[in-house]
Amino acid sequence: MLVTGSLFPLFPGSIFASNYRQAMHWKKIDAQTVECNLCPNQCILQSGNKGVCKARQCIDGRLYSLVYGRIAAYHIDPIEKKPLYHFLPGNEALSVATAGCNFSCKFCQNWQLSQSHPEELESRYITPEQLVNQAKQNKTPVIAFTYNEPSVQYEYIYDTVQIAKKYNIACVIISNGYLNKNASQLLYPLLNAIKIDFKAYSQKFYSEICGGNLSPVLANIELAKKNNVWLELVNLVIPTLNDSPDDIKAMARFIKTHCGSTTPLHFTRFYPIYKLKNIPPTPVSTLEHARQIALAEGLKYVYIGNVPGHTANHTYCHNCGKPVIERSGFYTTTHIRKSGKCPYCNTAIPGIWNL
Amino acid sequence: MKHTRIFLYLSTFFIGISASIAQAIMIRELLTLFRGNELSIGIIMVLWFAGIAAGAAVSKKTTLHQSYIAYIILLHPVMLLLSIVMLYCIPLVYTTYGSFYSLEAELVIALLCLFPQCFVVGYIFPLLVSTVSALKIRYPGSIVFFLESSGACMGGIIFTFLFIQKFNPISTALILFIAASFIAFTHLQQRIKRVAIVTAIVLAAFIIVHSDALEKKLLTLSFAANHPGTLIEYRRTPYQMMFVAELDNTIALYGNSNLYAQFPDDYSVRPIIHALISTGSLLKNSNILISGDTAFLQYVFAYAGASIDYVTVDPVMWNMLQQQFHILYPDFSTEKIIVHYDDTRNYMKFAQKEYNAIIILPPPPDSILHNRLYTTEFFNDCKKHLSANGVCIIQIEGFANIMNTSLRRYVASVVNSFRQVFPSSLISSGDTIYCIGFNDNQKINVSNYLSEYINTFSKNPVAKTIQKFVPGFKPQEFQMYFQPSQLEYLDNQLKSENIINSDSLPKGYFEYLANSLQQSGSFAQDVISNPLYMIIILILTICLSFLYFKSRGSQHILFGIIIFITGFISMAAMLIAFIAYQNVYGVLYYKIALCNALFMSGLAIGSATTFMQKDFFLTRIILLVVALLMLFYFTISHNAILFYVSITLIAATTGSFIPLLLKKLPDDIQLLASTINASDHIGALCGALVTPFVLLPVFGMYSLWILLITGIILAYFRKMIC
Repeated sequence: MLVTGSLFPLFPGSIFASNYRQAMHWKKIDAQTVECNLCPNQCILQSGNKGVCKARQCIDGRLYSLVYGRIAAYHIDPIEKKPLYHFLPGNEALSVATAGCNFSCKFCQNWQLSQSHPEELESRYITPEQLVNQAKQNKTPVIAFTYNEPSVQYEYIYDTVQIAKKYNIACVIISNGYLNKNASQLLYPLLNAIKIDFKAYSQKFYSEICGGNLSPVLANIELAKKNNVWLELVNLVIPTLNDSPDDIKAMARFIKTHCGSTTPLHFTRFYPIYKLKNIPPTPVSTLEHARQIALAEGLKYVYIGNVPGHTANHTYCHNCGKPVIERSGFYTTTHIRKSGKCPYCNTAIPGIWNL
Repeated sequence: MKHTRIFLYLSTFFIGISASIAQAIMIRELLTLFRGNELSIGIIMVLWFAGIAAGAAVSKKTTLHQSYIAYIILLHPVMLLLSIVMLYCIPLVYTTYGSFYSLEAELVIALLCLFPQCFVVGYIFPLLVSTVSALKIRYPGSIVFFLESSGACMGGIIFTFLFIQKFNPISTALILFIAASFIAFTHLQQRIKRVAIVTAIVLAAFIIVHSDALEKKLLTLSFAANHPGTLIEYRRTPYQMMFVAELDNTIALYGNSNLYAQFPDDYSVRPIIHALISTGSLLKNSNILISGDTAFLQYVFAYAGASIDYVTVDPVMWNMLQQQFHILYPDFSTEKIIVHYDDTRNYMKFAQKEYNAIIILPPPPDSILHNRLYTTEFFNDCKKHLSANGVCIIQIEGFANIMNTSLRRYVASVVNSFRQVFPSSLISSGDTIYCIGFNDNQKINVSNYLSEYINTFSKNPVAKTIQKFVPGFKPQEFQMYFQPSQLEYLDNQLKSENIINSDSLPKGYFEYLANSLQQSGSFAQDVISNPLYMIIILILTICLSFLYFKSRGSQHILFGIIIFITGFISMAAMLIAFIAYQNVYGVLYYKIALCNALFMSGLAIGSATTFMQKDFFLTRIILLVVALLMLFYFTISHNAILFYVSITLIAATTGSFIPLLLKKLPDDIQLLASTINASDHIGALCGALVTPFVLLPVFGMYSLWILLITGIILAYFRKMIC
């Protein structure tokens, strides 16, 4: 994608380049032009220009990350909020985000982060070491790169993950899966878990509603599984736009074939937000129908999300069908054994239950 | 001669009727298409005035035949009809599935639909004045202005009491066309023209008979192109256009295209149930007041033994909700639910009852009308109706993980106002923020409060009843709305904003609007968030107008300035008056025709006073100042009579200047009518621009003092024209 101009070419000179971390995954085209190879947008940037993600800029013929350590959102969330249901349930994750995203989803819940330029948001600089220390101090066993698309802070995650490993702190990303193969192959094996937003099994939806493409996402879902990273998938069901039973069926088939039948899939409820404010929330019956389709296709762990109190929030053993984790909002009651086995039939429940 | 005079008088009266009905229809239909807030109304009004001003400005000296007037009055309802059809077809061509039109798109659509018909209205006025003047009748300007204003007043009345209830917009436009045809028929003598008119009348009557089916087809198609689900029903109520759609076993209810309610949905109201039960409310024999587009809460609480007063403004809305609800939940009884068809604010002002809980769930403050339910004054009204240990619960749109400046300021303005009235309160965080205000002065510690709720829930006698109807209902779930790190973030953010949302300075509305515009990526956000831009637009408009009229001579300039000022004052004062009225009495939309009728009758009275020989220039200015003072006193005293008297008087005084000045240059009357009519509408245009974007956000109701000073400036021109 050729980016010819930037709305905010505020940092054109090399004077400011020292403030930023040089980016990974790019190549020089000429003295003043680079090609960013981090994500499939493949932005070609001349000096002063930013990529589609707004988080990477070409300065004097080199590509820099503008968001390295520039944390704009910082919370301690229950891991269930991500949602990761088979990964250290009942624990908390130190959750951080920066500005920028390589998508432009019309239903983005975090649009204030994802659609902002770094200089538009208040942020504080936290080094990878400091972040890991803060996770230790807060006794959060997990650091989650979340809210906006984490791959825009690729370099920061890459550095943090390696430090976190030394202290037995898990790192997870909550991603749209829109990353080039080289970049994901380098990062995914270092992570403990990935949640990928499987926005739809439809190229039309990706291009018209999200500003992206489906195939790289499919490739990354496969890649995550191949790298043995714990993977959960989320499909936000939006009335009419991506709730076709055929697409849901195809999505479930893809997951079963490429990731295995025990990969958790969450159908979450859409609420009117951002640019899609005039669509009603997804009827719960639509979500229940989607869940039935996915179960019928052979997936074992299919959840309904954003509907607190719904019985499909619980984890049921795929062998005996009894509830092994019960959830009420973010509150969990875990019956599962420390070994990760069902207390009723001793079947191993797939997931990461201890670090 | 007599025949021609009657034709001209009838034409003038008709164009008044036709223009006012067209305005009412276009506002209603455009608001159905747009999001329906003050910005949309602002765009409509600005383009309306711009169209009339442009039409009047180019209607200079012409030697047109009188038949031309007959064609113009035929043209106006035809243009109205075309605009209506265009409005129905635009969503088919320009689809914005799930989104509202951007402000820029609204501007273009409104321009296409309004400008041509308004241009005609503006164009015909100088022409009528000139033609009547040619008949050697005394005070032609006063006569034309009087007849046109009287026609507009009549149009408002007919529309409210007849057309709105009996005819759809297509039929209304065609009825106006038939009326215009009869007037034209009396004047056009040639046989072929008369045959053409009769044929057109027959054709119009045929379309009227089939217009309901045509309208239904068009609306069903445009709904399907922009919304999920199937349109089951649509209805025009006195307040809004209602759409009912079916979507996968649920019913979605839209008012003026805004999604109001969806059911069955026992999940989205669960936090409110938690909020109420957590306060220790026993429900049995308690009185609860609920306002908001929901049905589930009323039924659940009533089932648990509470007496429910439900306040809703639109009977049609509740009937639709209830009708569908009974199909879905046949077990629920309505015995303990009393429905009050009233504006919530108005109900609170005058109700005598005391409540154990007041639950207010209005739409977001995307208009000043809705913002009234988020202000300090309203929260005070709620508090007055609470029992000693009563609670007030509201919900506001919150944040996912961070807040930008406008969102922070919006949330702060509402939460600060709530806390000011309820110092003892519990504020949640997240996408939706729930505020629970306690009437007694207990000190709240969030974690203790939640623990107590969880520990005592099972002992609450209603727990089982609630769990029966709300599946999986557990008190632990309530914790998700009080996530510590999010609460800490919210607290830190609110500390930096010390603003209050009040009736007189509706900060919550302006900040909410700025945030909405940022979401839509509209360039208008910059214009709105910075009053300076609007002042620049105002200065540019004035300069361009000055340059256009400069060649007409100094007297035209002088008269133009005077009329610009009166046009500005009347528009700004009316907008402020409407907002002040709305703050107290609620939906003005319902009474807008009465207000318009009063305003138009004021104009007619004002023009009638100019039939006198003497000018009474100073008296008119004094009366205008008195009217503005009365209006200001209304904003404090809330005496409705003051409101009605003041708007009539403002119209009578400001409106009288047009015919008054038209008397001054009898030899140059068409050009003067052109200048004056254009200046009046340019003034009104500037008033419509500046009031909502500069005066109200900056000065609130105190803007009236600025108008008062502007009115006194008029006295400066006294000697120049007398």
